[in-house]
Amino acid sequence: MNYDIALHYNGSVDAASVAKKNIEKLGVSCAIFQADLSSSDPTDLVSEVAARYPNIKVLVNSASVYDAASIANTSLKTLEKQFAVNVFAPFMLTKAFANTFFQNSDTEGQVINILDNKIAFQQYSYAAYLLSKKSLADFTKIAAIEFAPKIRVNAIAPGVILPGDQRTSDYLAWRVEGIPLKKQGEVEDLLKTMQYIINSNFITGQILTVDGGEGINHQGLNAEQFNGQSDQDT
Amino acid sequence: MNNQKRSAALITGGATRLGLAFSNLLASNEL
Repeated sequence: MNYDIALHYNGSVDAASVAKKNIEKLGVSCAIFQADLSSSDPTDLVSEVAARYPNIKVLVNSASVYDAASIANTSLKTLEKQFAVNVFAPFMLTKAFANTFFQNSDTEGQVINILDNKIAFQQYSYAAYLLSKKSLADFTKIAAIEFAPKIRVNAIAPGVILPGDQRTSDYLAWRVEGIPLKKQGEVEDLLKTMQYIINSNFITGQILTVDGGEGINHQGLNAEQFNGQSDQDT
Repeated sequence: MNNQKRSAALITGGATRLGLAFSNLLASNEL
């Protein structure tokens, strides 16, 4: 099964236009829709898309912003932007998706939210971003209950798969050392996960972490590892 | 136009590397 594609973008009109042409070569229709999700009402985007595609069955919340700052260095503006794009937009898009396409319909649909495997950690150096992704993870579970049985809501939490262009090979090698499977993931790993979610009609409210085990790689301190002299009572 | 018959998918951030990959998957016959 394949889908017509409503492709949202913000600033990358050239990339969106190229994507449209490539997607159309696959034999489906594709239209591109511009919206700045940090400032506009996401409900308007759904209305615009519905006018062109009244048969939307899948919503993928992939748009995301990332600003690194500790709590001590986070401005209200940064906090608001992280939450506007990473939480408020998926929230309002999911609401509009459900109300527009499923309220008076017996058909089934699904929402897939894109998270980050860092939701397993408390890395305060990008506090606002991390908190927004943790919120989106909880939203995934809440929405799965509210919109069942018509709409399944799941999420994918990628690890080291598409690092930013600024990341050096030394950095990536260092990160891989912390991954139990000792390798960087590939986009194909995420696509297989999306295929699994799309085709699994008995799965909802789940977060599938695709990170080689990095997110579970924290044992915590314990007595077996302790080599100190004052451990006589433990 | 067959837009009324084929189901459609909305992908936000569709012009990013990850968004493009997801869009291509949903548009393909690999599902």
